[in-house]
Amino acid sequence: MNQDPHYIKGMLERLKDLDELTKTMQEKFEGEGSRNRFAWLFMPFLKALYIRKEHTDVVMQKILNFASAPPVIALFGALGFLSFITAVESALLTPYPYLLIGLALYLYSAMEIFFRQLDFKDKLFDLYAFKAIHPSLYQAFQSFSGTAPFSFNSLHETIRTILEREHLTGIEAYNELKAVYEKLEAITEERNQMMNDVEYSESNMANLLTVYEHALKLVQAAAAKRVSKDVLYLYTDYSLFEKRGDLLVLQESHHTYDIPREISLTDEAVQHWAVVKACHAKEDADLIQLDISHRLVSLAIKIKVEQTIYLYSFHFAQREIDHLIDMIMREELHTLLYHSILLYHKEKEG
Amino acid sequence: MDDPIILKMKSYLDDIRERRERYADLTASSNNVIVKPSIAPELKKRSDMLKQILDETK
Repeated sequence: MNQDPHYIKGMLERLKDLDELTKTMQEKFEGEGSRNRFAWLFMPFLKALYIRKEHTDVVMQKILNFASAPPVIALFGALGFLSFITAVESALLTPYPYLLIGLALYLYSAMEIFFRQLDFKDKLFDLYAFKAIHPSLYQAFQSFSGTAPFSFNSLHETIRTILEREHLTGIEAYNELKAVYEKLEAITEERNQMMNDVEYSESNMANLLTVYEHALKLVQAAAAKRVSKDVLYLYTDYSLFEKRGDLLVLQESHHTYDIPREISLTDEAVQHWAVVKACHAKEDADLIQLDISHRLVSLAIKIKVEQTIYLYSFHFAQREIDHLIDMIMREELHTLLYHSILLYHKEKEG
Repeated sequence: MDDPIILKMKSYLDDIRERRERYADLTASSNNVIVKPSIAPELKKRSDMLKQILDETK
């Protein structure tokens, strides 16, 4: 079946129209035996004398209807007839025009009734007239009669039933699909949340493991009395400054050869350095400072060990910032850093 | 370092990482075969259209 909705709609509408025709034909076929076979030939001449025309809206048709109405025909006939026998003949001229007009109107009326006999919508429709004038159409419509007559209306209803079923199945399938998709969306959201949780836990565990591993090294170094600058190494290259008055003095470092051994805290040129900004920090929130220069990151942390202020800086390439920031900005790492520097400080103090 | 706890935890972490990555790959491939929700609105649209035709041709 053509799935185009316009086609389906047009088909349903036409089926309804067609059924009016088939219904009329069936009724006529049913009464076929009781009717006179040749009545359609002479009945128009009789009916022209007493049947009124159907009303229409066309002005010309109205005029013709009036002119060919039985009373008008009768009037003209009477005038023609009277003109033969009355004394007013001379006044009314000859009778023939009246007779001709009356006859013409009569013939027009008879012809109109004749054609109405062929119009299946007209109450004067005559099956035998239709059969004689349109034999092939008559033959085609014969199939609509019989014990199980075909009806366009039943076809119309059948198609409607099929479409209604399709509509309901579609709605049902849509609702089921919708429920499945909603469930799927909820599960997907739950899954994404769980994946995030797993990633977060994994990252936390990895960091804690690193801290634990380093803490173990600190204990081993302390126990073996072999504390060195190695205890200060965490993830990246580093530098460790000690604050002495207005100076930061480099104590230890790892692969950071371009860093000055002393930095003046009053030098305007170095005020943007992370280590200087961290040193100037008054609030806890400012104790950690970041500085990026020439694609190199310096992340400095100010730590006070006993009475000494230390500035520890992580140094790494900018491309690693996302990965390392996540590992460095953790409370457990800062605690570990404090204890590493404390151990280093104790060792240095002797 | 040969600390058994660290080795055990590292192994555990590797296992979690491997499973997470495998699951992520599986999710990515399954997303390609799941029927896209666009079929549902199409069904609804067609059903609504049929309903409208049925109402208009009563």
